[in-house]
Amino acid sequence: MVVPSTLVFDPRFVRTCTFATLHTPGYGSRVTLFNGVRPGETFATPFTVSMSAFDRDGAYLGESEPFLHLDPGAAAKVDVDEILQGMTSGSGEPLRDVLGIVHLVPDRWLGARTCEVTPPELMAHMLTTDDFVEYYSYRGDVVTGVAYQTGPMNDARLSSTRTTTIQAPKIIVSDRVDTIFLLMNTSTSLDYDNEVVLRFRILAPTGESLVASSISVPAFTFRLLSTRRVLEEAGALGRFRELGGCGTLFGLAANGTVVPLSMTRNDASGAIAVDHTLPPTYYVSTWGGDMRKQGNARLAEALFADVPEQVAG
Amino acid sequence: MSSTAVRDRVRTLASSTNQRLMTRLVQSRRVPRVAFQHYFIETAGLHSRVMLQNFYSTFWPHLGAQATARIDVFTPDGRRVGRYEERLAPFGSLFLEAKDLLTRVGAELDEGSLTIDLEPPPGVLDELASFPLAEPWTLRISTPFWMAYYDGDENYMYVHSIDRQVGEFYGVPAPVGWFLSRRFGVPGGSWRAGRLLDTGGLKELQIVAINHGAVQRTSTVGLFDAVTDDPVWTAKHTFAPHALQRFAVPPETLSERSLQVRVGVDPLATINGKPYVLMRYGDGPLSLHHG
Repeated sequence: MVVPSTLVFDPRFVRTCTFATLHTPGYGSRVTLFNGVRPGETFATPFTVSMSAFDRDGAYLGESEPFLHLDPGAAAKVDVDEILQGMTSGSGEPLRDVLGIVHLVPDRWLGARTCEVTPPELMAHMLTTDDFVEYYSYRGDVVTGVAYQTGPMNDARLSSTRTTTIQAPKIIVSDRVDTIFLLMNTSTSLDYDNEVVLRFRILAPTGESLVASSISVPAFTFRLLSTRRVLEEAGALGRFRELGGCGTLFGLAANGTVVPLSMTRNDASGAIAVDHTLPPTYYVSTWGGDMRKQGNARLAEALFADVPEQVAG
Repeated sequence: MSSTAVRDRVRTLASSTNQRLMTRLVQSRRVPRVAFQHYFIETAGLHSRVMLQNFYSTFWPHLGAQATARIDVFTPDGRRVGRYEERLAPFGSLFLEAKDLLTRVGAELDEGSLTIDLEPPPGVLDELASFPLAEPWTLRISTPFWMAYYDGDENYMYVHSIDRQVGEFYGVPAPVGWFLSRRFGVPGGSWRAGRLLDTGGLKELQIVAINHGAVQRTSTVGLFDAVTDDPVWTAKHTFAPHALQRFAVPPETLSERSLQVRVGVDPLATINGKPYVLMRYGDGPLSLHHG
């Protein structure tokens, strides 16, 4: 596809950081933001930073006041819980488990409803750094986190096909350990409303399929997929443990992109191992275009032909 | 013609010759493969586990083929001490304890590194050779994988491999591998982590740095004030090829100060060879992340 030379954007989505807060599981959230395009470099700009929040259904809860000004090359860590305390839902309740989007708005577009931005400028701000999302336990001394990028996603102007392929050999389940996949559905406009359906299988090291199911992630929401629970519900937890207690999740979404993080959590201590997955180009450098389309079609046929693209219940 | 123009012309000719050579190689089913290098530890109450899936199944599931994982083990000073191979079933995966791996290669190590090359089934090479790639000379296959680190209470940490090892190129004749490795593994620059660490309550901090490159490199590893970039603690170290060093930041450095710091390396040994950071707050479990 041909990407337009300029794109009309809501300036709040030129440079974003999207994350989930995990208040109910017992964790606060902090985010280190880095304005990675340094002084003197092309596209260097100071950012004014605010945050939007969305509820479990993807309903927009509002936007905070600007809370940070970030010069080129500067980094700052913000406590998301503190920001949320200054925001309330329509019912006046404090905001807890939300999908958060931090907006880093170039100063020259501050207050504008739209701006015209070039794809190279979008990419420059996205590629210069990951944001580090940190989770800390309310009850103790667990501090963990992961760095990742949430650039412009689910935007038809930038990608003709929006799909997700997940291959994550990171499932560890025991009496006190669960592996949870955090799936986020975000985009570049508040008008976005596509619900992404991820079909998935959990496979044992032998390649034996133990679970086949799907999960739906509405626009501007996140979902937590407990592999221990889905194994239990499928009656496959015993077999999974018998085969070593480790396995791989293969997933495919044909109608959109979700950001997948895996979180392996110790129920007793609250410790969490967290990491992102790796895109196909890490494995095969030329993966993309027709090669990707054909590959996804093969994967859909081989692994997911009998898995409905809708979620029961 | 100026000397600059002559140099540019020679470069262009060399480049187009290289592209034709690489294209012919790919079309004859010889696809360059490079392995990621990752850290393991079997001391200080920690264990390590390799986690790898048969990714060829994800991309070419219709082949239903096994793949062979070739695992090389390296000492902390970068010497290769053994190789172990294991077959992965179609859509299968490998969860291999580091202690079992060490037993199989006959090595006694508390820590070190390993690389994995997952050899593609023949059908994958057929598919790649016949696919009309726009730029076949850019095709590379890599084998990224995860390592899980855990203690006796099943507190887990895991992270993906961060950089490829400049060493053996698989899948192509040795001279081609040598040529490719020359253009690969250039030193990185001065680097600061994208994460700000709060030293308040931080009781333990270790940094593991790896030289993924094939030549000796000297770097300064340290903690730097997040605002001023002044060094809070640093250590200079010369890394042999493929060597690693685990640095323990003195606890008094942490307890004496309550500020935000960044981990930094000047310079990174390779472009993306960011270090591993192991941290413990209070009496909590360890956590680990890259950079």
